[in-house]
Parts: sequence; structure tokens; C-alpha cells
Amino acid sequence: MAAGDKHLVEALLYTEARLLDRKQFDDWCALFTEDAYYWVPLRPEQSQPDKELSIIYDDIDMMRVRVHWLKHPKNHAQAIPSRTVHYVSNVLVESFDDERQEYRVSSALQVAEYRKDIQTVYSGSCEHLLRAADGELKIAAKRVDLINSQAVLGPISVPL
Amino acid sequence: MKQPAIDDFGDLVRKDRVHRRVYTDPAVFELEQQRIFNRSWLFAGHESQVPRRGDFITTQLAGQTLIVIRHEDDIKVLFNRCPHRGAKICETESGNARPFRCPYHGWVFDTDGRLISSSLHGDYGDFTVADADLNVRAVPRMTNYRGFVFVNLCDDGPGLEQALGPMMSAIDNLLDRSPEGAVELIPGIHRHVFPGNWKLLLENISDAAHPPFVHASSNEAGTKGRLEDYRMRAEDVMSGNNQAAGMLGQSKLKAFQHGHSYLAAIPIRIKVSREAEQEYRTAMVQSHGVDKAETILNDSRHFNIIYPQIMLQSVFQTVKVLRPVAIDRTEVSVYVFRLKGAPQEYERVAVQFANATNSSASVILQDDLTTFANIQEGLAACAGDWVLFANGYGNDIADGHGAVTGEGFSELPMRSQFAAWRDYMAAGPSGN
Repeated sequence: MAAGDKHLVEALLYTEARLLDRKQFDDWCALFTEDAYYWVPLRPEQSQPDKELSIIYDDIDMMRVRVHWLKHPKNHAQAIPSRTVHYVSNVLVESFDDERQEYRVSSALQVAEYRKDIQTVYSGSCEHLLRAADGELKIAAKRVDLINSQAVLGPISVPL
Repeated sequence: MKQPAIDDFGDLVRKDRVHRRVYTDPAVFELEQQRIFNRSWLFAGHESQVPRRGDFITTQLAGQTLIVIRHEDDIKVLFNRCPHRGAKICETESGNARPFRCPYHGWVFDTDGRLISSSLHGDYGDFTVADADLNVRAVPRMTNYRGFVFVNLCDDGPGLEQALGPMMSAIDNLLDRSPEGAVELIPGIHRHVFPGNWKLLLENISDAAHPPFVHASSNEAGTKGRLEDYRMRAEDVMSGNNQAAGMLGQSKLKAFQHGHSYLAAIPIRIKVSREAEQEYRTAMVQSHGVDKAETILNDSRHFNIIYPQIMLQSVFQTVKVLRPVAIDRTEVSVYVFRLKGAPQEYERVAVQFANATNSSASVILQDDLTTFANIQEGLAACAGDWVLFANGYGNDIADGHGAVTGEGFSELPMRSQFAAWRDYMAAGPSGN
């Protein structure tokens, strides 16, 4: 891991946040590897996506379905679109796997969403697995642990 | 049409329509709590949530805060209220209550609610721990049916099996899909909320006509995916959800007394690998025999409604439970079960299905929840005042034993739900 890597890592996380806020969802998907998954567990210590329920457990195909739905003209949940700001902070490169060229990165996430006169705030911790390949850094996995993941929730349309 | 009076339930509910006030008037909500939810059999939890002595979950039913707790070999459902000064005894959603102790003054109870010791002994005259009034109060009635814990907050009225009648078979079908005849709750409960009346959810569950309109977006997004066909994916759910309107139009509806109903012949199936299905079928035949296994697996019911609270999909191992919070606010909890003795793939697929359809981030559910909000806002307008359930009216076929059948887009289940609603509401308050 080189000294400048932290900047590359941060730039990718900030870019991801920016693309979601600008609703460039196809570009958001393009940040992920083909074997990536995007996970929002239901339980804070959850380790098994297949043996417990999750809020979101998408592979890249399902992420594309989600994006297709978000952009669909007959989407009811976003007929009045959400406006969001994704705040990313406390970015820390936890580890680097030299062989795999993978960074494990933790961060704090806050998403403010405004829709139909109501502002909702989601807060949580984030873990990204970033992989460098062919001169590009991509997201191989993203996990978001909401502090209120077990609460009674309203619709979550825009990815966190 | 003249305006019905608030307490004239026969006039608020007519043969093919209801007055919008049943969805919008807070006074109606209060009466529904007393007259419907306080007198119905309600799902409180599953015994696999409390496997060991003293294990408990807390829940809320009909405005009451309850504890479902494992006593010795049996399960008790108690009001979550200390008999001393009224504090909640169990604060957390789940845990082990040994000792089962009130956090306020340390009164200790046995796991059946019996007072064992108190901080007051000696100084309070007639006070004795043997006084039954000082036990944590149990709900008037509870029944553990094959692991499903039901509660009734009224001490009279029909028992569970009589009240549910033909709907008991829906619970049996879910359990019988396990080669061992038993299920366990998969950890995690999907919980969501919508700003609309609880009845809107039951109506939507029974409504075969809405998917091409409400779910066009998720359907089209799903069918664009390219996925190996053995995987049970959201895509399958979505494309199933939008089976050509003709297919949905062939659905079979059956409604029973007390508002129960089911919607059948909707071709959405769980998809697993050929190997897993083979293994599962072999296990099913071994435990149930060929004929019974076929009958169990051929049950084509898409949704069962156990009025007023439970929506059960045995083919997806799912029980959905609603909780009215206010006239215009409803919370929903979704429980998903593992079939004991079935290949692991069935568990994985049920989890995928639940995440795809019942998570608050589900691309299917969100369009439904948004629609409920829209209906609630629309109903605030006094224009016309009536909500129509006329589709299929006149074509319903009664079997003479309390069951009525309809087809396709018939609004029979809604008419049946409101017939029960009217009967509950007109019967007056419960004895409690």
C-alpha cells in the first residue's frame, strides 16, 4: 500500500456518494465489479446473508434491476422523486491485501432524504471492499449497517 | 345517497360499497380496536423464538404490550406490566428472563407470571406473595397451534380452530411443507410502516387486478435481467407479479365467514435447483406418503387472509402480520420460516424472496406502500364518499356452508372482509 492510496480510496467513496445524489445510477453500478454485492443487513452483527433476512442483499444483476426500476417512468415510489445527500466521513483504510490488491475500508455514512414534505435521515457505518485491477479501483463489496436497521422503516428507494 | 351515521354500521357497509369514513374517521379506529382486534385471534409469535426456559419476546397486539415467554414445556403470554406499580417488566424485544424480575422494585416472578418474592414482605398488612392478584396477568386466552402462538384478548367467543375454520388448513399447509411437519423462524423480521389504513393492505393482498398497474416498473426491470433460471430471484417474483393480466384474471378466490379468504391459482412458485427439488420431494414422500405429499405441494394458494391480522403464504414460507397504529398508520411485520428437514436451498430461496418482496427497500413493496399512501390521501376528499367493491358482485357462488367462490378480478374478498367488519362492529364492545 502506497502513501497516496488513501486519497484514491477516499475519492472513490466520495464519487460514489456524488453519483447517488445526482441520480446517475448506471454510473454508480459501473463502480462495482461483476462479482460485487451490496448488503444492508437487518441485524448489526449479521454474518450470514443466506440464513437471515436483510434489508438489501443484491448482487450486480439485482443492483441493475434496482437501477432499472428507479429510472422506470411508471415507478410509483419515486413519482415524486427523493432528493438526497450522502455524507461520507471517518474514512479509514483498515487493511490491504497485497496478493488480492484489496483494501478494506470503513467509513461513517449519513443519508438525508427529502420526499413529499418529509425529511428522513439514515445513519450507519459502512464497510467497502475495494479492488485494484487493470489500473482501476472498483467496489467489490459494500456493506451498510444502519443504526436503526431493526426499526419499523418506510420505503428506502435511493440506495444508501 | 344520504350520509350514514357513525354508529350505523349496516349503513356504512353496503353490499358492493363502503363509506370512506371507515378508512378516515379516528372514532372508527378506536371502535375497531375494541370490537375487532380485542375479540379476534391474533398471531403473537412462533415458539422457535423462545426455545429455552425463560426466553421471551415482547410484542404489541391490539394496543396491549405483551410478553411471550417459555415456561416449562409450554409457552405463556403475559401482559408486560408489573402488578405492583405498572412498570414494564421486560424492556427489550427479546432475551432471557431468568430471573424474571421487575426493574423498578425487584419483584421476582416465575416464568408463568406467579409472584415468587417482593420487596414489600412484612410491612404491608395483608400482603402475601400467594395472592393471585399479584401475579403478572396472563392474556385471557392463548393457543399454541403446532408452534404458532395465537392470542385472544377477550375471554369469550369461539376458540381458535372454530374461529379460523377452513383457514386452519393454511397453517397446516405451511407446516406440512416441512418433511418433519415443523418450521423454525429464520432470524430477522422485516418491519415496515405505511401512512394508510390497515384495511387497505388486506384489500390489496386480495386484489389480482392491481399488479399490471402498480408493479409495471419492477416487472419490466426484472424481466430485463439475465439470470440462470434455477435461482429464485426478485426477477421471478416481479415477472410473476405481472403475469399477463389474463393469467391473473384466472385466479380463484374463496371467501369464508369472519372475513377470511384466499387467492389461488396465481402461478408464482419458488424456484430451486433440480437436485434440491428432487431431494425435497423424496423427503416429503418418505414422511407424508405419495398422495399426501402431492396434495401438500399442489396447494396453489397465493395468499391466505386470516382476518383481521394475518396474511400467510405457505409456498413462500411467509407470515405477514399487520398492526393498526392509527386510522391512517399501519405497521407490518413479516416472518419467514425454515422448513425443518428441507434442503438448505429452500431456506436461501425463502430469504431471497422475502428480501425481494417484503423488505422496506423492496422494489415491489415500495410501489404498494406508495399506493396505500395515495389512497389514504385521496380518501380525505369527500367527493362521492363511497368506495366501490362491485367487481364480480352478482357472480359470487355460495356453497351453502358459508363459503363463497369468485374468479379473476372479483372484489369478493373485500366484500367478505366488510361483511365481517360490519358484524364485529355491530356486535358491540367485548366483555373485557
